[in-house]
Amino acid sequence: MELRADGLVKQYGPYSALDGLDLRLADGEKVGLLGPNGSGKTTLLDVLAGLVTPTAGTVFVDGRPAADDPAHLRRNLGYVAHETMLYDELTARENLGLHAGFLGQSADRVEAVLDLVDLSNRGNSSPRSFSHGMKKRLSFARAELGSPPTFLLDEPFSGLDQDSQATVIDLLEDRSVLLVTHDFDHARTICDRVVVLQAGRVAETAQTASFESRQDLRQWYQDVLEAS
Amino acid sequence: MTGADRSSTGTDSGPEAGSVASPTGFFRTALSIALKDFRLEIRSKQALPLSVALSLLIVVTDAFSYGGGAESYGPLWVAFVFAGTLAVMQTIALETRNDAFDGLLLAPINRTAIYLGKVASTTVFVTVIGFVTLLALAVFHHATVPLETLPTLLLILFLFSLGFSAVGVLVGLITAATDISALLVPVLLVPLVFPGLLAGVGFLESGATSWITVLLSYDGIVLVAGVLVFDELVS
Repeated sequence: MELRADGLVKQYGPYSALDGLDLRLADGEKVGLLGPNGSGKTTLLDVLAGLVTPTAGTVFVDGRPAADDPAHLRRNLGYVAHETMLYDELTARENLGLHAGFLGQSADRVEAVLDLVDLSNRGNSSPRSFSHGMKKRLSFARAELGSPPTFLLDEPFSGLDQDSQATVIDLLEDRSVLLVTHDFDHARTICDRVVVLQAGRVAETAQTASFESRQDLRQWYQDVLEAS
Repeated sequence: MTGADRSSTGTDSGPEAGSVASPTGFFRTALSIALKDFRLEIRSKQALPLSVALSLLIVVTDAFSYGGGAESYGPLWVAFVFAGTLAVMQTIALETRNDAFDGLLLAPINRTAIYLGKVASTTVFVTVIGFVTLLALAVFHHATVPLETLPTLLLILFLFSLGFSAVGVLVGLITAATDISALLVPVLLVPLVFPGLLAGVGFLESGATSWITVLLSYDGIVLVAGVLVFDELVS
């Protein structure tokens, strides 16, 4: 699935979270979003996911405006945000069961994704009792229920141990990914391309293959911020 | 499996779950939302116990204020409206915690089904509060409810609860992101349910069935308005 943002503007009162942002995520491509706090990364993900309506501009999915067929976008998108987007009063299994029902998936699929994120033995526990890393894994399980071809990920590796990180990275193989991260290692090793956001706009973009090390990418990022 | 393969196998958009084109799916989705709300309430015990307690406190306080002698449905509506407001706020609080409501919005389901499911569950909660308040009124205010009028009275409570919930869900969700939602919800909600309140009070005072028509019309208007604006409001 191809995602394209054309001239996205999102204003909150006098503050512009997005200020004429253009971005394309090609089918199967992995793009890392870098930028300082408040540069519009999370707002961009929310707009692309259809959670926030832009003040101006359009999101296109496979060449068609997303607003024309929002169900197509939602069915083909997995979004892992800062919060779990799940209910503390339901068990992990019940939460996933609720979402599986919306996706037309069976209980077997719930068990499969619980197993995938290594939470099968905690399926009957409330997410409230989970550690930060376990909550993150459960968020991945929710996002993975429908096997979406595209993922939007907002700091997905925070709190995850090495094994869980490896599981998630495997999961992302052959998917389109828009990854918000402050970790230059992840940006360089997972992504095909990195984009720097600054004040709601794309300040610069580069192929990760052009960076030989994490330090190279960090230096380039700092140069971009200083120049913009 | 490549990304292209994946997007062309099994994950492409089928009919939207709960779409208008699939009424069975639509109602199934709304029912799932309502059942989820009942389960949340049973587990959290936040909306009903607190609201019923507030309702009883209002009725009891009113009884003390007037010496328990005034035979009037006045305390019923005061307790009903404010306890119902508390119930709406509590159910919405469960949705906004962990951004769980965003999870619903991300699902490929018709958002109108989400709205109607939440209205259905909230209507049940508010009707229960109204019924308990009515019982409290009978005890503390010696209000007598002839058995033959009880079904009509319950109908009025239900119809008022329906309109109240249709507005309450919208107001609760749009104020949830603010820091002062606890203040905003009653300030916005009470004026908006005033027509329904007027019809309910009018019926209990006069017994004229024309007030039921007014209440039905009010419910119809706010439900249709809610369906029309819900998607826009939550975005």
